[in-house]
Amino acid sequence: MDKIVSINDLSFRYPQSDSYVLNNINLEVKKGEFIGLAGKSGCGKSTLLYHLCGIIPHAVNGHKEGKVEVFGLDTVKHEIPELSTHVGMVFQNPEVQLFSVTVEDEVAFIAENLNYSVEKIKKCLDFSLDAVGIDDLRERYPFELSGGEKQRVAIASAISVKPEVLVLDEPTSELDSHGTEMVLEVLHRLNQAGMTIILAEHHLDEVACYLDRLIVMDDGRIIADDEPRTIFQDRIFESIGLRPPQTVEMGLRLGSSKLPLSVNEALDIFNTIPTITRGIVNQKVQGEEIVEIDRIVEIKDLNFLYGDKKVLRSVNLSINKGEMVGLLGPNGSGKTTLALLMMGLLKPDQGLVRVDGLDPQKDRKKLVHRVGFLFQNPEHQLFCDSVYSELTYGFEGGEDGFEDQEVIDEVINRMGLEKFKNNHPLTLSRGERQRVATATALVKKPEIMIIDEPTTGQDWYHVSSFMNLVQKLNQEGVTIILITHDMRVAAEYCQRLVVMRDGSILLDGDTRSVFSEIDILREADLKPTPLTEISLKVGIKPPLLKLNEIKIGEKNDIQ
Amino acid sequence: MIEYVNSNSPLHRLDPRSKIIFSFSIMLAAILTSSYIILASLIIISIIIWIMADVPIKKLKPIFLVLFTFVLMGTLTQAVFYTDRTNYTGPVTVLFNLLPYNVPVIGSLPVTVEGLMYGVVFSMRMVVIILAPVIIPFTTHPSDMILVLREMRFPEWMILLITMSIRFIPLTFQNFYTIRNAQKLRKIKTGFHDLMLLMETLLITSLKTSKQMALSLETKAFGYSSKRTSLKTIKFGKKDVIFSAFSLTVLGIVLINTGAVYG
Repeated sequence: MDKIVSINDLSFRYPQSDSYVLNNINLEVKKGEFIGLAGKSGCGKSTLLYHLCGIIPHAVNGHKEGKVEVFGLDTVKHEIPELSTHVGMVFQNPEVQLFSVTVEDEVAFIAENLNYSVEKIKKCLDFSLDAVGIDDLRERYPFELSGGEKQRVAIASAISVKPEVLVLDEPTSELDSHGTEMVLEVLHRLNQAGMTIILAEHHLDEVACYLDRLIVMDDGRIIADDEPRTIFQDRIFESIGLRPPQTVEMGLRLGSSKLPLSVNEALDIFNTIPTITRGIVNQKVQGEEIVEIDRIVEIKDLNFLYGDKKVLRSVNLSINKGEMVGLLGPNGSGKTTLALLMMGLLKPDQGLVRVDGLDPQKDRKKLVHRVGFLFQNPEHQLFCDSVYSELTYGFEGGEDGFEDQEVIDEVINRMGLEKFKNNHPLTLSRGERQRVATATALVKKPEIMIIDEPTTGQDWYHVSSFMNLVQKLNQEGVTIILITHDMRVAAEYCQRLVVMRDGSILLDGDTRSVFSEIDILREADLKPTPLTEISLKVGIKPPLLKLNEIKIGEKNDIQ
Repeated sequence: MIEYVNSNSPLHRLDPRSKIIFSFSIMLAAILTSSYIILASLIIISIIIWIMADVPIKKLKPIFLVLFTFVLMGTLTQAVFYTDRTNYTGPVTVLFNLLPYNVPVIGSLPVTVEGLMYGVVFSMRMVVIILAPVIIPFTTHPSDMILVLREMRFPEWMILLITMSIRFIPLTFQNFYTIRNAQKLRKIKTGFHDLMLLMETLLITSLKTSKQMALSLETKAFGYSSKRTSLKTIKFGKKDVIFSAFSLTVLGIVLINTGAVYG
């Protein structure tokens, strides 16, 4: 195969930093490869991708050593527009890469900027819309589309001038399972058509089977570059605090010689090893028992309209004290609206909402001190000039100021924020910001925590640290309502799941029984974890949720 | 509140420039004339154009609310204050007083026949001034408006600024409400200081967003050349010429009529 990208001895540091983000990177990419780029947040993945499309050095400054060539073009000597005909770039957030008022205009944007003839622009447009399969969206406003559709428009725009390489920086991290599936299907199709794909991604469950090569980075260095199976076999992911796709983990647990990268491959392995299959099939699954205690949230016949649109339709929901409930559903299903109604920030059009016995509309003052709310983006809930003042925000002038001080100190210690106490919250890393945001809720010693999409765009190391903390809070008696798209998090941490679609509750029950209803989940555009899917396919119902539930044994040993 | 309504009405098929000519002509005519008959005719013309535009009546609800407010406030204030002006020298025929006794400074607020008549003219004028131009956003796709700007040789950066603001402003508002909600969830009574903190966070997050947008624009070859081709073009056709001629004729008639009145 032809070499199309060549990186030699590349090191880079940003102007304001003394440490190098990239350290002596050497890499070659061949035509038609589908390459995955993995690593913890801040390991240098995005910086490396910026070098490929010329953002570095042309739009972002820093100290660079080494050489990057794309199609023989030195990225230092050739400007971004010239490189854009060879390398298309797609960013994490679709919102920041759509500039036009119709999808058609958006997809034609690069070709128009490059001053192509109208005939050539039309050809680019037709090629791109067809390749990505969004011809039906041609006349739509890009900002009215779903997350998955927006990201497909961004991909169509990036490939409109037919670049040979498409570079994507975590394009699915802000999407629900349906959106993720749509985007990955498009990438697979483009790769099949001959396009080289370089994809930085945290969650490889869906994409591992498409990859020709997997590059793992840590602390600015490439620590592994090989065929995915070899990397997973060598336990590289685990060594840096990440976790491989769940099918791989299943294969490792079952001692499979060829690690499965997809659900079908995992199924094939089970079918070829009958004793193991029987072991799983016959394993007795112990369902978690939910003991009814006090009802802490009570919602009856709740309806909410936003303008003419019915966002919630006759929602009925009770949550018991001490439960950890996952609220699942595609984007726009009404999850966050429901949470805001529980906090009294929205007024119901009809129905009853009671939280801890209080009417959120009338008793918001009391409720604010009993319920902690964490938004998806911690940046939106940090507005003071130091971590300490952030934690005291809302307590100023309180009668029990001294007691609050003790609580604040305790929370600072618990969240490991001592050394950041005087730092501006927005100068911290994403994980640290999330800890500060959590601390702002914990200083109230809340009885309930509502957490909106805490794992978006984060690697497993940060996800597990945060979720273990949430689980500990739950064990201490805090009721947790977790809004999430992450099925593995829902399966492994929640005792109960509520599935929403179009403002209604489709399913409500303990985690196992909800995951048993795979058809209804599909109706809500949700895809269960590979383990759940496989266990259902081999006949385990209710399905397995955690890897440690897989027991290997002889047929007769198992009940 | 006002957004493009997808349709294939005769108004939708017109070049945006002919709709701009119509709006300006009708607005200018309404400003120049004080004749009830002409103003009533202009309102009728605007209503006919609205009917031709095939915009669902529910979309017009906010427009009606604005119109109603203007008509009510305009008629009332002019009815009371028109003859109160220091330079008013005409007759003053009091119909009735709004207040039963004299209040210092504001008096008894008399409603005069002359004020009421002027109030009606003022309100009719406001109706025309509001009705005529809002037809443009309802019947013109934003991408066609962008093409008009391009045809008018607006710089590309300015056009991009306008298109981005269509997206960026709602996004900023969305962030504003999220941050405000986050504050409300931690503090019962928020004041000016909290608003300042909110604005600071909003500014930082908006700057981050704009930085990401700038990087994305770079990869899309924006600003590569001073020349830029456009996939779509707009054409000022025969129907546009007829519609514009009609608009200018209406303006001409009003000008002649106004000239005759003042002459």
